[in-house]
Amino acid sequence: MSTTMRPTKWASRLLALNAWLVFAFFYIPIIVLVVFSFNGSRRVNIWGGLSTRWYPEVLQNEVILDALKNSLMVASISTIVATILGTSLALALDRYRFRGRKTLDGAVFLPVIIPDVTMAVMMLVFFAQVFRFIDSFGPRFQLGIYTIVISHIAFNISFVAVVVRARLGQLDPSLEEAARDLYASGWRAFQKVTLPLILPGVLAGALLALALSLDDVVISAFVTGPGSTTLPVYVFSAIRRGVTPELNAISSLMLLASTVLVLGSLFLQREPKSKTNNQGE
Amino acid sequence: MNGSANAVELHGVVKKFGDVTAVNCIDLTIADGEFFSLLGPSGCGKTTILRMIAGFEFPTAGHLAVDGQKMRLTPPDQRPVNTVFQNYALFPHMTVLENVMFGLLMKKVPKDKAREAAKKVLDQVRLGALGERKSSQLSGGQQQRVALARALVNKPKVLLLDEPLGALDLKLRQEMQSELKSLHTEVGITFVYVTHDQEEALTMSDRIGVMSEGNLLQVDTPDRIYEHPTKRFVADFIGEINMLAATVADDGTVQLGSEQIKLDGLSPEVGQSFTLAIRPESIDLTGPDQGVEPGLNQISGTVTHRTYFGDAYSYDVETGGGVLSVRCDNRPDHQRFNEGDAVKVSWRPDSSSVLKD
Amino acid sequence: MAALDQSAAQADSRKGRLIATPAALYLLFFFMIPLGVIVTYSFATRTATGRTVLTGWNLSSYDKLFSELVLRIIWRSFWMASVTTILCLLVAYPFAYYLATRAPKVRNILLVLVMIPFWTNGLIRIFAIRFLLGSDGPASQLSENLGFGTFRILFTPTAVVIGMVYSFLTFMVLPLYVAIERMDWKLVEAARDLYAGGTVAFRKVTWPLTRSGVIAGSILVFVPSFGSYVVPEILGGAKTMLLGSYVARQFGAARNFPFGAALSVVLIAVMLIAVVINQRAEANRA
Repeated sequence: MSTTMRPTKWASRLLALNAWLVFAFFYIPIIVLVVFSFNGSRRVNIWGGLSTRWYPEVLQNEVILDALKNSLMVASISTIVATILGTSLALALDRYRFRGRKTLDGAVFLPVIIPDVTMAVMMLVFFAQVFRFIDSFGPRFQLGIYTIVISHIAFNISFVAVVVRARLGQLDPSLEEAARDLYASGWRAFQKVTLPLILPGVLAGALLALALSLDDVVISAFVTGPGSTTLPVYVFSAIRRGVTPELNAISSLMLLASTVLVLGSLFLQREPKSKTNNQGE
Repeated sequence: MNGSANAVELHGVVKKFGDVTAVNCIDLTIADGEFFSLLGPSGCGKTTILRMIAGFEFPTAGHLAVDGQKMRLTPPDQRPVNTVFQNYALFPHMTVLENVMFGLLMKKVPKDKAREAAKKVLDQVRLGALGERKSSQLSGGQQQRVALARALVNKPKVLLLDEPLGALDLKLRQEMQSELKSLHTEVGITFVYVTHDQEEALTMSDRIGVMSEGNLLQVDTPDRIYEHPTKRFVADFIGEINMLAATVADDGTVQLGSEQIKLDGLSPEVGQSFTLAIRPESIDLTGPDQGVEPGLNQISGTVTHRTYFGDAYSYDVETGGGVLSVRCDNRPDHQRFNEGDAVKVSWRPDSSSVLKD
Repeated sequence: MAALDQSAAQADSRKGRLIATPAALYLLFFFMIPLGVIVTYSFATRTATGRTVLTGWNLSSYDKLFSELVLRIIWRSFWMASVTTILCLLVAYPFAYYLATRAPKVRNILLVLVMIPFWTNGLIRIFAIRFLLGSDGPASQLSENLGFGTFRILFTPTAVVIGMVYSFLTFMVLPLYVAIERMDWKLVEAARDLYAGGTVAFRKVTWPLTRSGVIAGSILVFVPSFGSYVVPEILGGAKTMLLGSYVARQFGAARNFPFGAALSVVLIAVMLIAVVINQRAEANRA
C-alpha cells in the first residue's frame, strides 16, 4: 500500500492521537492490575509499598492449584484432540469435493460465532438428556472434567479448522502434485510435503485452542461437576465475591502465561525469513 | 517392457470440465526418444493433455497408454513419467539435493545410492556446488535446472515439460533451449514439451503438434509445419504468412484472382476454391524488365509499402491475386525497391501450401 | 461404463468424506444435536418443581418472551450491543487506518501489540476493568485526589459498555485492518486526481471498498455483545440485567429450562442472521 496517501498534517496528528489512546486503553487497566498485585497492603486504596507477598500465598493455595491442574488437564486433552480433528477437517474441506461439503463448511463456522452462554446451556441440557437416557440402563453419570473436555473439543475443532484452512489456502497445490509425480503415494506426499509445510499453521491452531480452553469461563461453569472446577471458573466466582490482592496476583500470573502463548503463536506464524538471495549463475 | 512400444499413445481422448470441452477427441502417437512439442495459445488444451499423461487428470473418453501400457486410473506415482512444472514446484522445506533425491527415495532406493545419483545429475545441469542450498536462495534459471534434475534423475520413460522457460528472460531462455536440446540428446528420454512460443517449438522439436481450442490441428516435423501448414490456424499461428483466395477451373488450372499460376499435386477433393498460403520469405521480387527463372510462378504487382527491419526489408505488394507481404534479406546484391515501383513477384510452386480449411 | 474422470472424481470424493468424517461426526453429536436439544426444550413444559417435562409441546415459553419484562431485557441487550458496536467502529476504523498506513516494520510491531490483549484471558481483562473502576479502586482514588469525587461508574450500564468495548474492540480492528490494507489505494488517488476532496474520496471510494471489513467486524462485535454473560455479571450488577445473564439465571436459580431454551433460541436466531448477512456481504464483494 502506498504511503503517498497520508492525510493532511492535522488529520494525521488526530489519527496518531487516536491510535495511542487506543493502545493506552488496552494496556492501562492491565498494567494497573499488575502493579497493584505488588501492593503490600490488603486494602486497595492504601499503598503498602512494593511486596510480593501475595504470590507465594496464591501459589501454595490448594484450591487454586487444584483448579489449575484441572484447567491444564482439560486444555491439553481438548487441544490435542481438537487439533487432530480440526486439521483433518480443514484438509478435507480444502482438498476434496464431496457432497455436503458446502453445508459442512457453513456448519464449521457456527461454533466460532456462537455466544458462549448459548453453547454453555446447550451442552448442559444435552448432557442432562444423555444422562437421563443412560440412567435408564443402570449406570449413573455426572457432570465432571470429561464433560468440560467434550464441550471444549466441540468449539476448538472449528477454531483449529479455520486457522489451518487459512494456511492451506496459502500452500501451492502444485507442490503436492510434484510429490505425487515423484512416486509418492497420496499418504506419503502428505507426510513428506504437505504436513511439514502446514505445520506452523497447525501449531498456531493448537495454540489458539489451548488459549481458548484455558480462557473459558461460561461453558466450563455450566458443565462442571463437583471437584472439576477450572481456574477461570474459580477466579470468576472469586471476583463476584469481591476484589482481593490475591486475585490481582492470580490474574497477573494468568496474564503472563497468556502473553507467552501469544508470542509463541505469533512466532510460529511468521513468514520464514528470506535468506540472502544469491543471484549468481 | 516392450522395446518397440511408443512412448505415449492417445486414442480418441476427450476431456470435459463440466460443460467445457478442453480436449476434443485427440489421436496422437509419440515415438520413443522423440522430442515432441505441443504448441498452441493458452487455453488450447495442451497443458490438459500433459496433465492426463502425468495422471493428474483423467480422460472423459478415450484411452491413453504410456510405454505400451494402458493407463486407466493409474495414479501419477505409479506412472513411469516425470514432470517439470511451470513454476518449478520445488519443495521449499528441502535443500536442492533433497529435492533431487526425493523421487529415488520414494522408490526405495538406498539413501547413499540416491545421493550419488542426485549429485551426478546436478553436475550434469551444472549445479553441482549448490546442493545444500534451499530453493528460495536460487535464481529462476537455477531453480529451473533443479526441477529438471529432480525429474531426470529418475530416468523416466517420458519427461513432461510444462512451459518451463516461461518465467525466464530472453537471453536465458535461448541458453536453456539449447541446453535442453543437448540434454535430450544425451539422455535419450522421450520429451513432451508444452509451449505457446513457436520459436521454442521450431528450434527444439523433432515433431510438433499444433493445437487450438482443444483440437490437434497438425502433427509434423518443424520444417513441414512451417513450410507446409495444412490448416489456416497453423499457418497463421506460426510466423507470418500470406493467404490468398484461389479457385480451380474445370480444366484444372488454378487462378489467383486475375492471375493464373502453376500448382502441382492438387488433390481433386480440394474443390472449386481454397486458400493458398505462402511465406513472405519464399517470395522473390525482381524488376519488371528482369528475367525470372523458368518454372516459377510469376505475377506482376506494385509496391505499396516498405518497412525496414535492419536485417531485412518487408514489402507490401499489390497484385492481381491479392496483396502479398514479401520479405527480402538486406544483402548488398539484393535490389531495393521503393513505394510505387512496379515489380515481378515470383515463387516456386512447391513452396506454397494448400490450406484445407 | 462410467467415464474415467468420473470414477476418479468419485474415488476422490469418497476419500474426502472419509477424512472429514471423524470431525464431522463429532460436530454432529456434540454441537448440532445439543443445538437441537435446546431448541426442542423451548417447546417443553416446566413442572411446578422445576423439572422439565418433554411431553405436551407448547409455546408457553415463547409467549413469555413477549412479556414486558423480557422484551425490555431483550431491547436493553440489543441497545447496548449496538452502542458497543458503533463505539468500536468509530474507534477502530481510524485505528486500523493508522495501522495500515505505517511502514511495514512498525506495522508488524504494532500488530503484535494489538494481538496480545486479544489473546490474553478475557476474564482477567474484565477483572482489570472491574479493579480499575471500583469505588475504592485506583481510578476513584485518582479522581478523589483531583477533587472530582469518587468514581461511581461500576454497576451501571456505562461500565458494562466500557467492559464490552474493552473485550471486543480487537474483533473490530482486525477485519478492518485487513480490509483497509487490501484496498487498492490507486483508486483513491484516482478519485483525488479527479478533484474529489478528502471527505468525498472517503465516502465514495474508501468506505464502499472497506465495507465488507466493517460488516465482518460489526458482526464479530455485535453477536458476542448481545449474548454477553461475563461482562454484565462482573461489571453490571443487578440493575443491568442483560440477555446473557437472564438466560443463565433460568438454568440456575430460576430453574425454568424451557424458558431459558426459548431465550437461547432468540440468541441463536440473531447469530444465524448475522452469519447470513456476512455471507451475503462476502458474496457481494467484487
